[in-house]
Amino acid sequence: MARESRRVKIALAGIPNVGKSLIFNRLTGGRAWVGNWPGVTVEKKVGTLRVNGAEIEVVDLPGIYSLTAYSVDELIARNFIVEEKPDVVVCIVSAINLERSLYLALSLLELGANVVIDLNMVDLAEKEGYKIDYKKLEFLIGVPVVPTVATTGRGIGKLKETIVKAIHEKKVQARIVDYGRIVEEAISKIEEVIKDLAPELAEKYPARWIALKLLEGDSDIVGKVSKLPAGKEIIDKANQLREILGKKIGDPESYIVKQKYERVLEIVKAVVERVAVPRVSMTDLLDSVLTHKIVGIPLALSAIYLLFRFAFEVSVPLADLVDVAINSYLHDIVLGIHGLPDWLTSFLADGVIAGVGAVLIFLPIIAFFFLGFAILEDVGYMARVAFLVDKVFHKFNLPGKAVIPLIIGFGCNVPGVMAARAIEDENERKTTALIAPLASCNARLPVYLVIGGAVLGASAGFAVLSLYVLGIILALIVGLLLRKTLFKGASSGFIMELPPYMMPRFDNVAIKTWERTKRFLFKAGTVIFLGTVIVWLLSVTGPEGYLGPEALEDPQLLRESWAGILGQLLASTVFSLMGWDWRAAVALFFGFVAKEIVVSSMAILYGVGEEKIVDVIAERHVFTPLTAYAYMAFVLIYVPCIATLAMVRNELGLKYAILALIYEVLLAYIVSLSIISIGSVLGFR
Amino acid sequence: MPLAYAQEGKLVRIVAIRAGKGLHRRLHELGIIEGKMVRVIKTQGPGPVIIEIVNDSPYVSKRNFPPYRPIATGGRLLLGFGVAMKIMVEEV
Amino acid sequence: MENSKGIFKRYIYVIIPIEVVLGLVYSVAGFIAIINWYLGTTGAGEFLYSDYIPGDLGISLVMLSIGFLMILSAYYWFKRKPVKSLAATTLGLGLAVAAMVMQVLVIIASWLDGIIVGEPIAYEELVMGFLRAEALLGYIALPLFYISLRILSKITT
Repeated sequence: MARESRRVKIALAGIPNVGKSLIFNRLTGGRAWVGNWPGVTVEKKVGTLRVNGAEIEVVDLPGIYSLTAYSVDELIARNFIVEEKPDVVVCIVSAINLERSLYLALSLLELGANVVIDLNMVDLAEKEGYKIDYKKLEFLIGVPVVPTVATTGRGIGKLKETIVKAIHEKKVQARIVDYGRIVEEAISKIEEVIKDLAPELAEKYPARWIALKLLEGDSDIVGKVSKLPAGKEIIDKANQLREILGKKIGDPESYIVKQKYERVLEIVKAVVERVAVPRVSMTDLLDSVLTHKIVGIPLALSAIYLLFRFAFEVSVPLADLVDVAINSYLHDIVLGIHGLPDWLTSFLADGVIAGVGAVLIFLPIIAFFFLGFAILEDVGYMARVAFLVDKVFHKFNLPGKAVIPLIIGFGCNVPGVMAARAIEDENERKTTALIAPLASCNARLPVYLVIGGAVLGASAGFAVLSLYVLGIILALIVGLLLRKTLFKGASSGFIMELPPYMMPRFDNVAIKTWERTKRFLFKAGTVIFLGTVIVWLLSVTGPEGYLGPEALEDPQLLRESWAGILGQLLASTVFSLMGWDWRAAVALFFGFVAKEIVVSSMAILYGVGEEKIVDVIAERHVFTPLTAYAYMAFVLIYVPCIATLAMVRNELGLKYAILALIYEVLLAYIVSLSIISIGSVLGFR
Repeated sequence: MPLAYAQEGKLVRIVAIRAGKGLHRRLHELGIIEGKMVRVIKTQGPGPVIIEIVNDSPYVSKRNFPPYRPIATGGRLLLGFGVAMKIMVEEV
Repeated sequence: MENSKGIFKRYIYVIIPIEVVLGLVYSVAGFIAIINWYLGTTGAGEFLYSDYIPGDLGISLVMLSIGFLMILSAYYWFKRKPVKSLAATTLGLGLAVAAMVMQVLVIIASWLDGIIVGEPIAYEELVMGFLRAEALLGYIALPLFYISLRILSKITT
């Protein structure tokens, strides 16, 4: 047998919310290689299915509704199927969202894929009072159908068997939809032309599919065909037929889609059978309250408040454990090692360990935040929050969905920026990624607490709250400005599947929490760690060379360091209007690296331990209440951290990272200055 | 009347979709097609809507269960304010 | 079906009056929390019932939301929409339970924290934490939540 010795490969396809990632985990055991599809920032997951000693590669395609050229995700999916020719495409069909699921299944069949249908969530359909005759479905569409319940694992064994069987018995059902005599004639005419003029094309793609796409006027396929030597002739023929069709049936594309949908409805009608009187669904009932006009918003705010309490207050013991372990225990061990040169001891203790500490102390808070968030998300509540805010967000030319990256941003801006990926429209996605850093993340809070606690006294709590609100308001305003200037253009529309409420699943929640926390730990962590080391270096060296670790304890000596000189320069020039101490200015400069460092570098600069910094700021009258509040606002707005900028670059490119840097610093400056000038006019001090 | 203005709980028929090519096709593929009926589950009227697509002929059971309401095998869709303004409907 | 309707009716007569009272108490507590918060920001005078109600805007929001839901529930009840009324009740009680659980978690966390940091633990303060309004009311809400959730899951899919 002359068989190619390549690995057997299968792909998973499905519309959003059909339980695809759960099926992926069931098939592969959860271990996956995660990366990006080449050239785009769309996540690609690859795992291995082991069955009967054979190893099969499983590729998770993006969640899609169709295979058009309008969306990047859909192009990725169809190019993968055409170019990599997976042995089987498992299409996951939701029993409670049969119509849209089957539409995708038919599209896959038309593309000539060897499809196996996984009819998932059959238990939920039964609860809704209907059953799906899967044998009949199998008969109607001519490919194997396996009913499963991914949450319990029911039917997964059968699914694996069916996949293995399908690898050897390829079934192609490219003619699954009959488009009616007029269109079918046109299709076969183009098919003939393709087979005559471009046989190599007909080998790669099913000729019928190409013909359909040409009739629809699919931009990607038209482009590809016109590059062929005989391309022009084929396109001309297609356009001619399009015109003729247009006169008879209207826009061919619209007609073809409608016909396919009609076919879906026909199939649905034939296979769905009611088995019980329907009752009110729990989801509708809960939605009638959770998305209520009046109580919906306070409920959402309450949920977010409880999420914050969970993150900040319940995680305290873990954070302190990390603090004690690193800043006392590990720090003392390093100081206790004899025989090291002074600079090395200082480097390890004040640079490396302080750096690791700055990152790890936040880890519990962030992990708890993402744990709580993942639960809300898994229950299905976040989609409702998107609905609640859409009306307001619409006024700022943003989709309701943009609220999710902002909320994630409260935890850590790095995964927040990344979460903007979920927004389909390119302009809206870019805008959201650029404003997500304005959500006040966990790392900024200690700055507010220290300075607010020291200077603002009883109104500190209100000041902190106002900063969170200010962040969101600024995000919306900047978003509107961006949408009116750089990212103009009408929205391509915010449409979202609203899944039924479900009990959160432990593995889903754990995976999501881990992925986001990991992003903080590795992406933010490494940068923050390096930043802390640089802070140390700039503090112990100056124009006169190495100053020795004493600089960290002696404010006079510190003045002579690079950091000190820089701070005095900043305080006497750009920040002269603000009335901030030079040490505060240096702390801001270090804060570019990460907000985690602001408080610790202030402590270093005032020559005290972090636990005393509040007293020192209060006693020495470093800030007036007004300058303190302006300082806190500055901390909120100017670049959250280098890691966030790196993430913006990663998602949108260097150009936009620079844009983010510039707009944030400028905005911070303007807002702080306005606070000081308006405040002093109003008589605040 | 745009869908964004439809009342909660009402059954409406889609009469026109005023959208660009891409969105038009996306809506069609989601089952939002001219002539089809849609139930407005939730609205912030005028604002975003949550809808359920209802098919004209309810799937009548073989076992003679009364067809209280058609089986919605389409799931719920959330349409943002912008999209809901582009879909023209009439009350049934 | 008939049976579950019977259960539904019987329980709703018990739950509705209790939850209306509970909702009023939550609303009052929520308002006091706002007043306390205001007193806190101005630094003027003593808190009202300071042992039980903190001056915290967040918790007042939660308590007022619970109150809102209970009122909504009563409104639906008078509008002869018992199922919606039950849904509002259940969610209100659920939020009450969540707030209570969070408070208990926070107390446990600060106890653990005391051990880790090695500071003497102020047991009196911890015990007072269990008596904070959202915790106290939450204990009452817990059994009611369980009952209404049971009914709700019986009458829905």
